[in-house]
Order: sequence, then structure tokens, then C-alpha cells
Amino acid sequence: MKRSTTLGRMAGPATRRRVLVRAGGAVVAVATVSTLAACGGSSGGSGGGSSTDDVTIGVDSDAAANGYDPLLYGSAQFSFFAGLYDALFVSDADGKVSPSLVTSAENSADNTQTTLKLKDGVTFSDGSTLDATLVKQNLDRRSDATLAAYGQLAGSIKDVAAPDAQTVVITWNTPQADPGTALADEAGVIIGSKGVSDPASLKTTPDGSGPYTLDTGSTTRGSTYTLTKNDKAWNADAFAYDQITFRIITDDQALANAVVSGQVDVAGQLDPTTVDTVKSRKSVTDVGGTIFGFPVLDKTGKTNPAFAKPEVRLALNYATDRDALVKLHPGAKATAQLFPAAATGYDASINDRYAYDPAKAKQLLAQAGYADGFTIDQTVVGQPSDDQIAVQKQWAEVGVKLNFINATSTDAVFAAAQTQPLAFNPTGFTVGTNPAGFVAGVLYGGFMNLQKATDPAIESALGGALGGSGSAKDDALGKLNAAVTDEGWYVPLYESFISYGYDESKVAEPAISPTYGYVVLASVKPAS
Amino acid sequence: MSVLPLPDADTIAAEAAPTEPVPPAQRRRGVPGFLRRPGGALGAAWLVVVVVASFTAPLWRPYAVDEQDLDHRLALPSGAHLLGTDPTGRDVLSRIATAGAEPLLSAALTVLVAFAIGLPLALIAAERGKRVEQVISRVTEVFLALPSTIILLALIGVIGSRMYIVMAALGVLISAAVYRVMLGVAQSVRQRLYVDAARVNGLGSLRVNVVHVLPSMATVIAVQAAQLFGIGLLINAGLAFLGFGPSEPQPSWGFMIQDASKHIYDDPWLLVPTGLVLALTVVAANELADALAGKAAGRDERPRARRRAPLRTAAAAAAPADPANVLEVRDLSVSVDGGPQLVSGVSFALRPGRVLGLVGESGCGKTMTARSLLGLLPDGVSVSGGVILWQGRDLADLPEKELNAVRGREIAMISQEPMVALDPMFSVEYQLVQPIRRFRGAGRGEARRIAAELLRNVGIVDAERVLASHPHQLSGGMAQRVAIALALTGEPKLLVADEPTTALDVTVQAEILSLLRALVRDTGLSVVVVSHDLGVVADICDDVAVMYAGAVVESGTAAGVLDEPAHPYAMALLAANPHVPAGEPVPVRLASIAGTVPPPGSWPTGCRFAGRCQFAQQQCTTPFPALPAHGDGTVLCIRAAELSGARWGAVAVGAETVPAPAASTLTPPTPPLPTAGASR
Amino acid sequence: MPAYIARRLAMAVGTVLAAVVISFLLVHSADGSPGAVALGPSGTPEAIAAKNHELGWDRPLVTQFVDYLGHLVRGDLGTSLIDNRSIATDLATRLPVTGFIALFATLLSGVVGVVVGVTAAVRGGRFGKAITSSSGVALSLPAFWVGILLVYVISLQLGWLPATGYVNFTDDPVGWFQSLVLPVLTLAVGGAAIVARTANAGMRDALGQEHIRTLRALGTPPWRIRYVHALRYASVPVVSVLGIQFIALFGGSVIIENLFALPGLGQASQAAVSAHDFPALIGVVVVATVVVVVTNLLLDLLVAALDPKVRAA
Repeated sequence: MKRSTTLGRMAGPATRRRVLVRAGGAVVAVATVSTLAACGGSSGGSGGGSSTDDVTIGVDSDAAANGYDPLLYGSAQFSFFAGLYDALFVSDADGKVSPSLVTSAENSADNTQTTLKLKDGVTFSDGSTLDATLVKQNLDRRSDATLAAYGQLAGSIKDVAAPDAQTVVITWNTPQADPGTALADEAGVIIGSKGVSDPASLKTTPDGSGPYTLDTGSTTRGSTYTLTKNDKAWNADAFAYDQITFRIITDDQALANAVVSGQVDVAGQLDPTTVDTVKSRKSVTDVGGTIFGFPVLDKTGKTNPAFAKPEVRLALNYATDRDALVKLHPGAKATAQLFPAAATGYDASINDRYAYDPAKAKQLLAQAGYADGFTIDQTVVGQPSDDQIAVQKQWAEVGVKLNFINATSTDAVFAAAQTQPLAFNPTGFTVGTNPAGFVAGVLYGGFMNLQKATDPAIESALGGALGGSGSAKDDALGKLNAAVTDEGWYVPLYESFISYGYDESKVAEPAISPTYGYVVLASVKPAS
Repeated sequence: MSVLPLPDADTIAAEAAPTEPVPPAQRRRGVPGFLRRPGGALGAAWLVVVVVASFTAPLWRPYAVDEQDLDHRLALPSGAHLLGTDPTGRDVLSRIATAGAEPLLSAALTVLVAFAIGLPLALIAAERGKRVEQVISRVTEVFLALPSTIILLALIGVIGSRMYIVMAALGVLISAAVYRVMLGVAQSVRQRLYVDAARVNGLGSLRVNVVHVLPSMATVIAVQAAQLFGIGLLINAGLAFLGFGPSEPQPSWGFMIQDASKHIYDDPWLLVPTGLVLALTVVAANELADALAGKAAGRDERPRARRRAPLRTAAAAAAPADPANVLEVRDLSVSVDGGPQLVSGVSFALRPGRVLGLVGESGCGKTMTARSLLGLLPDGVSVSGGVILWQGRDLADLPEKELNAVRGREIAMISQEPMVALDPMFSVEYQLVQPIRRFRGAGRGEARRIAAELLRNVGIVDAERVLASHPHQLSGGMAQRVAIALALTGEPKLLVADEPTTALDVTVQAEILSLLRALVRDTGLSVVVVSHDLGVVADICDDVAVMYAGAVVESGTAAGVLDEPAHPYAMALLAANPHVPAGEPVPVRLASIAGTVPPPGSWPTGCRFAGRCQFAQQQCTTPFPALPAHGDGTVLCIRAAELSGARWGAVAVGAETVPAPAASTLTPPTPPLPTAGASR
Repeated sequence: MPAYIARRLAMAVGTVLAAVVISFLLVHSADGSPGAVALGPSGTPEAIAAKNHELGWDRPLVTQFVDYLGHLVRGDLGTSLIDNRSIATDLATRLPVTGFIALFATLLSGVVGVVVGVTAAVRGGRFGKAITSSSGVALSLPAFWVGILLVYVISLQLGWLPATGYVNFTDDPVGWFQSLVLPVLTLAVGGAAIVARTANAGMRDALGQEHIRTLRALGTPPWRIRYVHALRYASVPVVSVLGIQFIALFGGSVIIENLFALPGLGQASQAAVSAHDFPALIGVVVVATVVVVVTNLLLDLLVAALDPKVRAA
């Protein structure tokens, strides 16, 4: 997650959009409370030709606001850190996880233990080499609460052992059927020996084994980060460009303008309101799986007594006219469920069950003792998005007053996760191809449930989805999806796309990771 | 426009604020002047419309501010939505109108707070003198240098988007700028006589301020307030643009623009209505300020001098010039373009090497006559009749370009205020060398040598030091000598001297007069001297033309006119101008001329002096021609013959005893004319 | 002059101190803390308290203040509470962004404003009237609105210039220049209007001066009267206004930096405020104040060079 901050963001047209997060899919927990990125600067070279010399990628949040410890960040920054660091496993353009720093991974029969064999000949920028002790040293940092990348992983690992130089044995607290997914991308990043033993050094100097090194001379914090190819890196051949420049452009409109006017070759994530703009001049690639909606943060009534009542939470689902909302977003599909349409467990009938029915909402509210309605406070950065404004009006029809509070500091936004019943991320949450991971890491076990509410239906379905396999797993996923809406843990609005703009005369269509919602760095290649 | 243009107050002071406070009594009643200017009227009207529309919006707006129509979002203007709809299909007109109240009120609050702090501080500083003023000024200087935008942001971080408090805080920060502007005005008001008088009369400090000082500052305050209001609106909108403003669904102008900026592709129209309303409101406030300051564009339009009035009657030009005269002015009239005459039918002649004095009270047209000789009449004033014959040419009919060739080279001029007649920005050397090179084709070194010589010729001993000086380093007498040297750079044949000694000390006056005398004697220069001082005239003039209300009433040799005045006005001037011998007290009874010179446009028919003349009769009110007098001269009085040898009677003026002037050892030999209300 | 400079320096110190105290107090009186920012939404109160302790945030205000001043006196702006980076280094990369934009906008408004204002004063008549009215409108336009319109027309419709962003001069001088054009234009619209009015008023005032009549009486060519003598006389208020412009543009750059996504001081101040990062905020305040003080000093020297009266005083 991003802790860098700025009211600077509040200013930009974009600002009001990012209230909470672009939470990454599977692994990331609190990842990406993107928000308020620091300074929307941008600089760096101009686009360059369709050569392999260099490419410029515009990104919507600061890649390294807190220095170059990749574990401090969530998925939003992984596109950047994938250039500097390698992870134990990586996900590809299809969301499929494959080994990277490991050559093989084997689970024990009960799925509580995983044995990893490490790759040979991996060297870090401090000169150290990859071995089991280093991996253990890395994973042993998991108890550090400030390391956002570990998120849910921190609680699921019981023990890490290094029986020999090439072997790591991880013992899990609960059965882990798919350890690769748990150890993929930002959660599985391995830092070199110097960096891991002195994390403070990472504030200024990265220490990774990745295909690129940081060119500090051409780097301006919060504005431009330039990566130069390290030809000696084991995986260097998988990446096309000699130099990659990341430009931070936190303003939605500015980001779109940047790709339109050729200042950057690839830009994302594009704010949905700017997609048409970019399409009219350049190309856009997108991936589904982004669910817009209100996570119900409070299920216990701690921040707002009304939310202790399941009827109230359900009433909000009935009071929402999703078909009207999608008029704001051409191409988006109204949905009343957390799982994307492409994910296993998606069930079209849920949408029918929660069709717009204000009368029913009123009735439920009356049952809960809120016949006269009640008020929900919601912190926004700057001003609320069109979705929030539209929903505010819809809920007002049933007597629920959505009251927006303008945040003036970053921690006010963070604090809202503890003190307010509903969150909203104007750019949606990337639920992606691994919705169970999202539930485990974010919705149930992450920042969307800081009050640690429990729900037997969700818990049992989640256990089945994570630990099971085959049809049992599919069945559990279906149950999990239904339970999230039925229990009122989420008020979904619609499913939309994550979009990236790119200049097709210079680069080939890049892939967006369906698991973390950002561009897969290795997929950025010159146009053919 | 910057976010926090606090220092704009300086701009305001520099370019908009009237520097002269208006005493309360002089302000006109009825329709305020600023409303008569189109900018002021339109600005005020727009502000009224916006204020009324904003505060009554809930009564008339066609839709509620949060009424959405998702099927008709981003609509262009139509019958249903006059200004179109926003991204959630809400009516833009209703939202703009509703949004107005907050910025209008909070900008007003900023202005109020800024003045509530800045104005009293300025009044106190102006009243309590230098020490208090220094302390307050230092503190406000610190305030002015503070990065106020950042401080406002930090404040928002503390209290959130409570815009009224934030805008009040802005008022506190801006008060330093208000103080600075107001201090200057308050100080100048306090220096005025009526404030002193009020203080002498024992009025308390508060009353003096409220009754006398504040009303005089009213115009400046209004100008500043209107401009500050515009600035407040911009800042309020800027903060709302950043997201610090009323919370949705309440609209704000700044945020509506922010919102519209996201749709510049699919609905650029959305930027137009809100932006225009905001811009127009700020424009209106500034136009109002301009109009209040009397600087509205309408008034700037000045007819250009080069446009010569078409009415000029050149009949007099028919007669050939008398070759004995170096200059001959015949029947000269000078008028305001499309307005009254300032000078009518003036004739006089000048022979080489002689000095002609044009004498009379202020407002008689002497200076206009003198300036018409060089074609240097003020903008909007021109020669409307007669001829000015010079070296065989009619200067009144010469194109500007040829006239410019005459200036300096043939006719030069020295003016009455030596201290402002020299360019303060350049050294004496530069100012002398430049025309010398042009007139005499001299090189730089040669020109410098000539400049030094000219300075020595006008009696400056240490010419080198003076050459290196700037005008502000010179005394009045020294500056006048330099001005004379400057006039001599082109070796002119005629020197026009407009009140050359009036601004100088009496001892210096005598020196300058003797210098002029010496120049005439040594160089054969002809001189036209304009003066209201008969002493000066008696001192250096060979001939005199007495002017009254735009006409020459008596002319002739100096000796003739001064010794035997034929016109009652000339008699009155002489009677009112006693030459008191040094050391003796000023007499308690002085002759005076009751009344004032009638202003141009209201000259009576017949004798223009009749209204003030002790000898006026019925016959004086009908037109009559000038009569010959003093040999070559004339007199314009129908009773001239009867009045020969008459004396203008003295009447008591003011107090019975007149205290001797403070510096009594140097009693002025020639006190200025004691006419009521006369001032240069 | 030395006494004057000494006074100016004393004022500067006073101003910096006042700014430091005010921003320090404001940051500390806001709800929240840097620890909470650093730890994010999942930070527990205990963890936040520990983090704040580590950052020294829980020490008495006076201690923190004195400590900070101690560093400041030694020219050390400290490190950010949030990410430990050197504030001086950070500001060193931001200062040129804001500085160049303010400087170029000031220069552009100076050139355009003087040409337009002087021409209006000399030509007068309908042209002068048109200039005066249109400058009245131009200085009233909200900069952010003008900026959006410029982006729309110049970047998006015509595609001539990049819409946003900043390019380092050392990376790409042409790109650097291009990235400055729109922000500078946006700011110069209002700036040029203000300068035009000042130049116009100053020029008209100058042309009405007695010494100009002296020059005319000497037959001085009109161009010399206007462009040497009157212009020099009018230059004093124009230069003062330009200095004020620069200060205002420099200090008020937040909105423009936002609109054009420029990594300048305005953004840094917003970031610092929202993160309760008081060393970073005060760093910006100190830099901004120093720029104001230095500008004022240069301004005074420039006016003194132009106006011999001031020089002597």
C-alpha cells in the first residue's frame, strides 16, 4: 500500500476518485490504498521510437514513495518493482502463476507444508547470491506489520526452514493448496543479503536480482524512475527494452493526456472517464474483473450501529439501482456480486435476486428499526465520484443519507477504514481471476474487515475454496460468492475494466495482469 | 492569475487607486459617478443579478441541485435544461445559481476581515506617528512575505474544508496588503487642512477618524474592496477546484469546473457556463473597481492634440507680417476641442531682443497663449483661430513635423517648475548632451564641452559637478539654471518663459531674472515671459500685455502700462501689488479684487471684467472694440478715456492686523496677487 | 545601503521564523499524526503510537521546535518523517520546476504586458480603450479555467504541445521547454494583463509629466520621448509589479502544478500537509520565504538602478 501521500492528489481532477485503494487480487492484503499519491509529477524522456532502446510508462501512483523496499508496497507498484526484483513465483498475462526464482515446488499431502527448490546462479546487485538462508531471512520479515506486500501471507506462514542451500521448507498454519499463488509477485519478492539485513539501506538503494537496475542519476523521486537493463541478470532476455522510464502521473486527466500526446508510450491504470479520450487517439487494452462497489467495512455496528443489522446491509443492496449506474459507464455490466463474470463461482441469478427494489429496502430498514432511515458518513478525498453522487441520491430515496466528508490528510483516509462503515474506491477493486484470494486477503482477512467480524458462511466457504480442489473447490467458490452478498459484506455496483492506453505505433499491446491489475512488465515490447 | 495574489494590493495601489483622497464636501450627490461609466454600470448590474439569482435560487431554480437524470447526462442546452446537464444528469443552471451564495458570501467575508484589521491599523498608524507606524509596518511586511497559499493549505489540514473560516483567515493574511494601501491614503488625508482643523477644534481621535478621515478614504476603500472581492472569489473557486469546498451534492463553481475538465472530450460545453459565470463575476468586480477609481476605459479616451480643430478662422493671416517684428500674434483663439474658448482674439507683437510680459491672474489664458507659440497645448486643446507669424511662417498652421523642427532650434521654453522640468531619471549631462548633439551636430566629447560651457554661461560655477548630478540633487535655482541652459542648447531666437521664477525663493528669483536680462543683452534673444507677478514684469519686461479672461485688455510698453494703467483691471492689479520696502510691516489694508475670473465658457458679453470692476456701468456690458493706448499698445475698456488717472480703491481684507511673514527680514518685494481662491 | 541590507536581513529572519512557527503549530494542531500516515489503514493505535515515538512526534512541542531550529540554523532542512528522504535534496529537484515556471511566466507577462500597455498608452483612442478593457477581463479569468481551455485547444485539439508533465532540462532540453509552455502561458494571461495595465498607467502618467513637455519643447523626436524618457520613467512601477508577480506566481503555484502534473513546491507542500510531515512542510515554507526575500532584495536593487532618486535615498 501506498503510504506516500499528498493532498496534492486532492487537487488533481483525479483525486476524488481514489478513496481507498486499488487492492490487488490474490495476494495483497491491504495493498494499495492507492489514494493520495505523492506529487503527480512526471518527467523523463519523450516517447522514443519503436526500438528496443527505451520505453516510457506512465503510472497513476508513485512507484517508490517510501524508498525501494518492494515489500512496503502492494500490487500497484509491482509493475515497477518487477524490473528491479524477482519473486519466487510470478503471474503472467493470463493470471497463471509460474515459478520464477524456484525450479520446483512440492506440497505435502495435507497441503500444510511446501518444499521449494531454488534456482541457481541468481546474483543480486549487492553481489550476494540466492540461497535458502536468504529466502528464509526474507520471509522472516513477515511479522513486520509495515510490510504491506506480505498482508495475509504473514498470518498464514507458520515457519520457514532452510535445510540446505537450495531448499526452503514452508510450513502453513492452514492448508495451502496453491502455494504458488500465495508466494507470487510482490509477496514473493526476494531482496539481496545487504538489503534484507539492513532494510534502511533500501530507502535509497534497491537490492534485487531483477533484469534492470535503477539509474539514480535520471531518477526524481515521486516523478521519474529510470531503469537500465542489467544484461548479466539471469532473466534479462525476457525483457525487451534497454531502458524503461516510469513516469508518475497521478492526475487521471493528465495521465490520459500524456499517452494521447505521446509523452508516454504506455499509461495506466486509466480512469474510466478517460478511456474514450485515449481510444479516440491511441489504443486501449483492458482486462475485466474490476468490481466497483461499497465494501461494508463494519459488520458489528462498532462505527455505526445500523450496520450490525444484516437487514440494513441487505437493504442497501436493494436500494441501489445498478442499471441506472451503468449508464455512467458505457461497457460496464451491472452486478450484485463480488466475483467477476469470468470467475468460477459467478452466478447470474444473484443479480436477479438483488434487482432494484426500494420498497423492499424500506421494508428491511423498518424491520431493523430504521424506518426513518439513518446517516452514513463517508470520507472522500476532494470530492466524491459520479458513482457515489448517484448512489447518494438513490439511497436518499429510502431514507439513507450518505454524508461525504472531505479528507484533508492521508491518515484521515486511512482512519476512515477503522471508523466508517462503508468504503468506496472510485477506481474499483481488482478482484480478478482469484476472487477467493481477494476475500481472504482483503475482504475477510484484510483492511475491509479491521473489526475482525466473523461470518460462518463466508468462513466455511473460504476454507473450501482455498484448501479444496476440483468440483469441491468450485462449489465452495460459488457459495463464497453468494455469501458475500447475502451476508451484506459488500454492496456491488458493476463490473468494469481496467484499462491501459498505449501507442500502438511504438509498443505492442501490453498485457494487464488479471491478478494485480497492472501492466505485466515483461509484456511491454516494441510494436512488431 | 495566481492563487494568492496578495501582493496585488501593490498593483492596485500602483494602477487603480486614486492617489488623491477626495474631501467629503467635494463629492457629488445623485447617481454615483462610477455608475455613469459603462464598465461600472455593467459590472454593478451583473453583480446584482448574480447576488439576487444566487440567494433566491431555491425559489426559482428549475430543478433541485441533486435531481439526477442518468438518461440525460452531459446534455447540451435545451428547453428542459437551459445550460445543459452535468455528468449525473443534474441541471447545470440550477447548480450554478445555487453554488453562487457560498463564494459570494465568503469572498465578502474575506474583504470584511481584511478591512476590519487593515483599516483600523492604518488609521492608528497614520495618527500615532512614525514610531507606531514603523512597528505596525514591520509586522505587516512579515505577513506579506509569508507563503500564504501554503499556510492556507496547512490550515485546511487542521480544520478541514470549513471554507468560511479559511476565507476569514485569508482575510487576515490579506489585511497586511490592505493596511499598506490604506496607510498611504490615511496619511495623506491627515495631512490635509480640514483634518488639522477638526483636531484643533478638539474632536476626539475616534470622531476625527470617523467623521473626517474615513469619508475621505471612501473611494479608495470601495475600489480596494471591489478588487479584493474579485480576488476572494478567485481564491475561493481555486480552493473548490482543488476539492476544498462545499460537499456534494452541494455544488461549487470551482468544483464544477474541475468536474467539467474531465469531460473536455465528450462534453466541452460543460466548461463554458460555470467558467463564464465565475469569470464574469470577477470581471464585474474589477470593472466596478475601475469605475470607482475613475479609471474605467471610457474616461481614458483623450482626443489627441494632433487633431487640429477644424473651425480655425485664418482671416487675420491676410495682412503681411511687419518685418520689424520677430513674432506677431494676431487674433489668436485657443479652444477646448468641441468646448469653450480659453483664449480669444489675442494679438501682440515682439521685436528682436525685447522682452514681452504676459500678465494677469491665474485662469486668464496666459499660459495657453504662451504654449500655443510652440504648439504645445495640452491634449484636447487647440488653436481655433488667428495666426502666429514667425519667420514668415504661420506656426498655428504648421504640420507637427515642421513645428517640431522649430521647437528648441528657433523657439525654446522654460517652465515654471524647474524641479519637475528636468527628467529625474537621467543625469544633467545626458539631458544636455543629447539635444546639443542633435542641434549642433557635435560629437560626444564636443557636446559635453559645450554643455559645460552652457552651464557656466548660466552662472553655474562648478559645471562638472552639476553635469554629473541628477535633477533631484539640484536646488531649485540650480535646476532652473540648468533648464535655461537646456533651452539654450538649440541657440533659439525666442525664449518662452512660463512663470520662470514663481517656484523659487525670492533671492533666487532675483538671480534668475538678472540671468535672463544678461542673456537678452548678450545674445539678442527675444523673450516672452508669462507671470502673475508685476514685480517680475517691471524688472525685466520691455513690453506688457495684460490678460483677463482669455483676452488682452491692455498692452503697451512696460513703463507705460505700469506707470499709467489705462484699464481698470491693470489698475487693480497694481493696487493689489504693493511694493513694500524691506523691513517695513505689511499694511493692514490691501487693495483686492472682489470675485474671481469667470471660467471659460461663461464669459460675459461686453467687458469680461465688468462683474468685478469698481467702475462698471451699463455700457460696459455691450461689445466694443479695443482702443489705442501707450503708443503702439491697446486698451480694451470703453471708459478708458474717462478713467484716465483713476485709482483702484483699497478695501479691507481678512483680519485687521496682518502678522508679518515669519522670515520677516526677507519680506518679499513682490507678494503674489491676493485674489480669492486663486491658485496656480 | 548596508543599514538597509541589515534591516532586510533582519526582516527575512523574522519572516522565516514567523512562517516556521505558524506552519509548525498548524501541522501539530491537526488531527492525526505522521505515524498513522506511515502505517496506513491497518495501523493499530499501539503501532501508531510506537511509530510516532520513533519519529519523535510525541516529544514536547517546544523540544521538537528547538531541535528543528537547531538544524535549520545549520542549514539542515532535515529528513522527511514519512520516508526519511533528505528534504533539501527533494526540494532541490522541485525548486527549479516552480522557479522556472514562475520566472518564465513573469518574463513573458513582462514583455507582452509592456508592449501592449505602452502601445495602448501611445496610440490611445479606440485601440487603447480596447486594450484596457480586454486586460481588465484577462486579469479576472480563473487561471485553472484558462489552463483547461489551453490544454483542450493546444494539446488535445491541435496536438501541438504536451498537456501535462515536466521534463528535466538535462534529460531533454526541447521537451523541457515544451513542458513549460502551457503552464507559463496559463499564468502569463493574467500576469500580462496586470503588467499591461501598470505599464499603460505608468506610461500615461509619464507622458503627462512636466519634463516630457520640456523635451517636446526642445523638439526631441517623439520616439525618443516615448521609448527612452517616458518608458524609463514608467519602468519603475512596472518592475515593482513584475517582482510582485513573480512572488505571487511562485507562492501560488499549487493549482497550476496540479493542473499540469508538475512536481513543484506547491505539490510538496500539499503532500507535507496531508502527511503531517512538518520538516517537509517547513522546508517548503523556508524555501518559499527565502525566495520572496531575495526577490524583494533584487527588486529594490533593480529599482535603485533605474531610479536615481531611490539610489541616493
